Amino acid sequence: MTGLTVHGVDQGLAGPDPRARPQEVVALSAPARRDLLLAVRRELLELLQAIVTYSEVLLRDAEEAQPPDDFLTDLRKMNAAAQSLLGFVAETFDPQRAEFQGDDFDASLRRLRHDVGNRLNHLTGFCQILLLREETEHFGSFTADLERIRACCQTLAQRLQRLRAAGPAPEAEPAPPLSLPTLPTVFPRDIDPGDVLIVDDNPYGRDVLRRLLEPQGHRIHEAEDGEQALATLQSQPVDVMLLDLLMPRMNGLDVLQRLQADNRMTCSVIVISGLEEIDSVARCIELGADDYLTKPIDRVLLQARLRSSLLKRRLRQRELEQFFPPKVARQMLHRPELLEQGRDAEISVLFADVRGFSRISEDLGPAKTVQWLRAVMEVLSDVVLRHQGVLVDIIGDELMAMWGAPEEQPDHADLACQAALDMLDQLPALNRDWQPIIGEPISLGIGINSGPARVGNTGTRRRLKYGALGDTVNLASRVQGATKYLMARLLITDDTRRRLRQKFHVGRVANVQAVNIDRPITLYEVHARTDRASVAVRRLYARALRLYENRRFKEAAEVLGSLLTQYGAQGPAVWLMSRTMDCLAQPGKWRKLWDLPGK
Amino acid sequence: MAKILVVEDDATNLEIASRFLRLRGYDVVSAHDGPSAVAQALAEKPDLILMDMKLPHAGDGQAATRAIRAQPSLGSVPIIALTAQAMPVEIDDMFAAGCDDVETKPFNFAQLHGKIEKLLAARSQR
Repeated sequence: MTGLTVHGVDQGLAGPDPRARPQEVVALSAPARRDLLLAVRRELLELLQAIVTYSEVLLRDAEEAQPPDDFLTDLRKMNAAAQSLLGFVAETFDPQRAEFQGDDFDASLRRLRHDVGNRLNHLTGFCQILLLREETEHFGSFTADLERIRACCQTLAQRLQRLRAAGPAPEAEPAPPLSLPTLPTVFPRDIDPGDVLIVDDNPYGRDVLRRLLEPQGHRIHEAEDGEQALATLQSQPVDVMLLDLLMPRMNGLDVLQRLQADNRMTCSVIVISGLEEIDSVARCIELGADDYLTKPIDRVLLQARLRSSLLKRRLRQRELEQFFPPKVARQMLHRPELLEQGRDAEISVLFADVRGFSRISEDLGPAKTVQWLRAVMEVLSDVVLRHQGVLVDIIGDELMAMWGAPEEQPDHADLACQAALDMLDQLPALNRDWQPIIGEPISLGIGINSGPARVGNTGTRRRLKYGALGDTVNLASRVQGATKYLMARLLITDDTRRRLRQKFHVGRVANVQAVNIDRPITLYEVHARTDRASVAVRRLYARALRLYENRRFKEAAEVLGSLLTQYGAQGPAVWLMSRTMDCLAQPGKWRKLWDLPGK
Repeated sequence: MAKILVVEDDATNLEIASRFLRLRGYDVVSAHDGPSAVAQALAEKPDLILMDMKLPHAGDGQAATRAIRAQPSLGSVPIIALTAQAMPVEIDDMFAAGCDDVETKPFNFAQLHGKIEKLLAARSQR
């Protein structure tokens, strides 16, 4: 019966036919020995890493499903075998070890293959026993994960064949594609989930990280190489990038260098390296990486580092949320270049001024004044952010906000006007608290203008101030100043009015001329109230304005007189009345356009 | 029910092989080195032997195989060599020592089962 069975037909788990003879024996140089050992070590560890993860997940699932104790025992034995093999490979595949320095490198490798093979047999053995038991006893749905472990073991056995000093290294078969079911949550959800980009050329490496992180709710993105990683960062918001150092073509260092050079380091980076690459890790941190992990990845460490990176991101986002609505803050976090580079945009700018500040602060004293101003500004800031605006600045008693940037907002004019009306709506509540203290109601003057402007960082590198510059902004500030003279609460320019998409109740207040701006500007008041009396007041004002503009001062004065006495009108009507009275006395004082006072 | 002798010095591998064989319905006896392998073979008269080739003490699996083949009372009991990552030359030596087949670690249970069944079937036909 000797030699009955023919080899090499069914290779199965054994990998390539062990009887294939090596083609030629070549003595390997020391660097070549080192490279060989480290290359195989890396491959084996990556696979073992995957196996350990699968087996841990499996064990957790099984513990919940409560199969018979001895089934759990077998699972634990498999897990222990995987851990032990991982430790063995990590420790033994060390080019420094004495047994790899001797003349018979080939014999040392054979011993190593033998030792790994024996230990691998423990692992695959328990795995197959578990599969057999599942087949007959049906404890739960563990077959898929067990098969996955078996597939990894199979690849591992093939990779082990490459550990030869001579002869052709059997070509590693491409790793079988893994279809992964979504896992139930097995790890505690103690971190706010984030967008995590896993960059690794090895599918098992990516899969292991995905399996570890997905149950926590993180949104996982994958890239197979550096180029793909850079492309993903461009198109996708990413909080943390887990970056493998050793990759073909563009390695992890190259990726960091590129990001650094293009000033695109927008996410936190955790570098993942083998023990041998620890020198490069320092360089990575110089290049802006936050942290690193060594393989094999420790699950607890991974979660701790990821957590701390995500936490830092959240803090930064909080900072940005002081000035931007949350959605924009998140966008800023991912694309800080939007902040840095100036660009031209169509925007609406709002200036709001707290009236009577110097008078009130004299009475209140500094401590109370600060308290009062902060209360008012907090309310106004909230209104800006609530209406998706950017809070550009607060200086003393004045607040500046804008819409239309950093992200485009086609309805920027509407949003600005709604915010302004909302600000005025907040006054009664503020007054309930503060009128008894400051002795008068708080009043605001709000000016809005719209048009093109240069948006970007208008501060410095150290003191970021996202804002806008240009005539549109200057004019908005002047319009706010005009509210004081025209006794209006909220004024917008015709440039803003033209851009309104929704219906607002607007009434023309005056045509004005501003220094440095050639064309005349029409100012409108935006009204919140639509009751009959208010509408009548507006109609009468419009008539008085036309009469005034046609130099029919007497008739204008009559209309205004009834407005003031009959309706108790305030605001622009008072201003127009005093202008009309001036002209009644001295018709030469009449101007078609009123000169807007400079700032 | 066929009786199989597993010779294996590694306790875990012995457990795995025994568990697998019992799951497949075989009777299992075991030995942990060369001398005890020969003694067990003589005492238990197994229908098939799984022999790890790298045994400690008193020579390796090849020596044990030769010793078993030298016992007339054991006849031509099939022997499957178990080996972890052996070289081609060594496999030739295993056949020369009297093994009928070789199974490389890590085991593929299905494949090993096929080999066992084939050898047992051939033996019963004689």
